[in-house]
Amino acid sequence: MLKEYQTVVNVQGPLLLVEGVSGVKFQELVEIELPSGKKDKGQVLEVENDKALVQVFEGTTGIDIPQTKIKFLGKGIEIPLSMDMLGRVFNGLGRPIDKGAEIIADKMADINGAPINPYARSYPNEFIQTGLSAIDGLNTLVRGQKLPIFSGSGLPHNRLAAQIARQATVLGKKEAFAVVFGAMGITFEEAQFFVNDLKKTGAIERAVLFLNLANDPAIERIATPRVALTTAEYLAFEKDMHVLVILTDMTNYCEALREISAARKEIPGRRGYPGYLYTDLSTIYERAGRIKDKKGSITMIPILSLRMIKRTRYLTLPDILLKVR
Amino acid sequence: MKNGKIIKVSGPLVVADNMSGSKMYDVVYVSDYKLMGEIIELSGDRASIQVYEDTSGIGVGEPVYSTGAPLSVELGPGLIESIYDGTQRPLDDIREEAGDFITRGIQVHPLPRDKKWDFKPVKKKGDTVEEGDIIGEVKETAIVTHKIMIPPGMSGEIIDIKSGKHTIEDTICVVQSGKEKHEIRMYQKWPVRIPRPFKEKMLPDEPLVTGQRVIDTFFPIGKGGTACIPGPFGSGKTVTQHQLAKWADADVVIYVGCGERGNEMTDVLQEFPELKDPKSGQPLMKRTVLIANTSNMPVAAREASVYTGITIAEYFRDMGYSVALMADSTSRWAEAMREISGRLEEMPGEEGYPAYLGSRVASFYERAGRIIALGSDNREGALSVVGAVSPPGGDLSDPVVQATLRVVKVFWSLQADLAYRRHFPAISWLNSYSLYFENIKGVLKKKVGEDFINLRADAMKLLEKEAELEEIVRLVGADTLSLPDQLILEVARSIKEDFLHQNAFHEVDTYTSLEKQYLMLKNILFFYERAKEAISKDIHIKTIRELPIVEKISRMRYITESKIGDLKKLHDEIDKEITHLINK
Ligand SMILES: Nc1ncnc2c1ncn2[C@@H]1O[C@H](COP(=O)(O)OP(=O)(O)OP(=O)(O)O)[C@@H](O)[C@H]1O
Ligand SMILES: [Mg+2]
Repeated sequence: MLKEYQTVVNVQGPLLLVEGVSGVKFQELVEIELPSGKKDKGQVLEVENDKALVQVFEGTTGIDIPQTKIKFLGKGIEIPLSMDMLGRVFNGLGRPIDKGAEIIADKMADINGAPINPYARSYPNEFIQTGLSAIDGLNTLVRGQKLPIFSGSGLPHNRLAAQIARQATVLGKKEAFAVVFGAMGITFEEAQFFVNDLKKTGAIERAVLFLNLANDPAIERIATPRVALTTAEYLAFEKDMHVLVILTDMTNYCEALREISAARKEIPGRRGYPGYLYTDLSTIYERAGRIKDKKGSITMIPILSLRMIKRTRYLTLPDILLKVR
Repeated sequence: MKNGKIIKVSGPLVVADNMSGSKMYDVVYVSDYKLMGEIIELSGDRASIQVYEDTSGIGVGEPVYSTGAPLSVELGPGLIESIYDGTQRPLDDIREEAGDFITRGIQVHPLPRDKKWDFKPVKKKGDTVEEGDIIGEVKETAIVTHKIMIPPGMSGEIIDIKSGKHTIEDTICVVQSGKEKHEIRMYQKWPVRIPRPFKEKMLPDEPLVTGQRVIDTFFPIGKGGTACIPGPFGSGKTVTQHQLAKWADADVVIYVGCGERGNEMTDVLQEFPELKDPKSGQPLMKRTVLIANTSNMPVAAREASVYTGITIAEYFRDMGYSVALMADSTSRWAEAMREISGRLEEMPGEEGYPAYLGSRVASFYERAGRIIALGSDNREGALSVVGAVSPPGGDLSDPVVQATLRVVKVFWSLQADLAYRRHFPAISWLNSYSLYFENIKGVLKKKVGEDFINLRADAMKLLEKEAELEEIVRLVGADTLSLPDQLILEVARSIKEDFLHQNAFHEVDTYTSLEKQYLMLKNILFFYERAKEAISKDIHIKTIRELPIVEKISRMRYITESKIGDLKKLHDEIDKEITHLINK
């Protein structure tokens, strides 16, 4: 039985504090009904006695303390998965936005996934031909690896990523191949660039797009890469596909994380980002890989804008391309 | 057992009340998922618990089950060749049970229960034994003979001892002290946060030979010593740690992958069974224990992983072995501490790290050492500890780096600019230091050569001189340098490129014995001596640079250990070619 509460006692940035609750679980999915009737989604960040701290994906504007209704849904954030997702466009939380039909779930999966057992990993050793001499020459992009691309003003990071996606699909013609694209806070034009490129090569039918654009709710970006990777894991490890995941722009993801951390009044680490930034990021990055005895793979291209890595200025673009891990 | 009740869940931290009777560091099971956790704060009947598994879906009011026992590891045959998570759960068994992804609430024995080991007693009925005495042996792998010891705190007379094949749970020996009879099995348990006892600690007096030239020749670590490798992103911390785990002349190696990448553990799992230990010729895996708590695994278990690792390491040390532990990266361990501390709302110190960061780091490295083990035979064991540190932006003022540098005796300073120029290992010859050198100098002289110490000093002087000269060149250009100074630049370049630079991925270059290191350095410096003489006879440096021996010196690193005699021949060739030049 789902309980509904009307006991919001505090709103702080993207966070809500709800009192008088019982049976609420850590990380539980929350439905928030605004006085206007609009429904938002949120997630439990902390429970203590009869209080629950909820992070609201769509932001807290319009939330009114006495009238907002809160429903705890008794499960974590789950998305429906199916092969029909290929060729479709979703928002940052995994809801279709292309006017197509709802996805009929082959299975439901929690977007947090579970860590790959290090013992189950198989070492990436299959090269992806990218057609970029900077990558294919001395070093190589390997299936199951991560290739971070750092963007800066004037650097052709989007073109690079698009080209890798394109080339990789060409090489994989005989194999089942898919592109999962997770956009966090990028502009419409930037997103369109990828979409057009995927269309040009016909790869769009093999692609799943999750779009959280610059004018979409910022906190939703916390979920977007996880939604994208949950889809990728399904395609790779249950449907034997080679999946290329492009996540752009991870810096916007980090900023959403920072916003929540600041609202929680946590002690900031470097540059105001929370101390657990590294750990949090690795729960995303470490979802790339190959697994013993499985045909599929997840190769990841996270794109970060340079404003975050000023300190490591020795890493120029070509150098970061050499650092294929 | 009494149950507590959860009143708060915040990430890896769970608070429960009704916990009276529990002790600090007791293991508890949280909720009916039975998630393993450890009590890290107690006040009244309220306990703060760090949970080693994901706490999603856990809520207020759910039960907490006490076990009354502290977080412990199982120590006995079956450790070697294992791969464990941070709380000693075997990852291979977890995979068997749960599949490719780690799900929650899985409980598996750290050591195999059904496997039979051939126990060979070295004591007999009627012998009196004290704590730490070795009562028998098990050939655990082709490299490691596992010594079965009387657990700390126990002594008496052996009234029964059984040879032959047994599981670790069988009683293989009974010791009587007074009216009490102790049944001894092949394994014991030890709480990870308490250092295992020993009789006496001594200073390291022997080098831990790693086969890495810049380390062994210039900044050696002693057996039982401590070292740290701080370095920025991508500067070679992990590769260096892997190199040490592969080639260090330790009897047993414990590798703790602490909050780093999963693929790096796969790398080890793939390579180690293939690579041969230079000493025994056996696969390296047969002396290795892996602890893998990668960055995406629960953060509290990462905090525990270094303790799990070092307790296993101490246990092998107690058998009288030289053990080496590598932890990559201690920064991730410190970050785990910071995260838990933040959730506990403790007063933060620098950069949000807890105020006790320094003391935790210090007491971790204090567990290293060369020791006399418990037991009447006064055997000697050593535990060397090497920690990688990953300061953000490579900034050495980072609190974890600072806390580490206060306790460790060797500092291998990885430099971004060296890595950028692909000079690997990117260990700076100007910033690094070893405080063991004085202590182990004697052994090096005896083992390697009387003049090894002087060669090292001469080479270091040339490198320092080079740094000065580079400064002048920067200011006024190379033309102004005198011929002898130009020669110094030339020889320093050779020391850097032909000696210090070492490719971890080259079959031969990856490992260099001390003897070969000595001969290589000797040839370079002999070349310097002779070239100096030539220059004083007005022979131009260009002519010298064109001699075939220069090329040969640059290829010394590729000479296999079995052909080490070629290095001695090269010495004669250097002599011949330069003499020829002078006499021409
Ligand atoms: N001794 C070496 N020989 C050859 N190459 C090396 C050596 N050391 C490092 N490298 C190169 O540098 C790369 C980065 O090294 P490594 O992964 O050890 O860095 P790291 O300091 O652990 O980085 P991070 O901070 O990201 O964990 C390696 O992949 C390898 O290409
Ligand atoms: Mg590393």
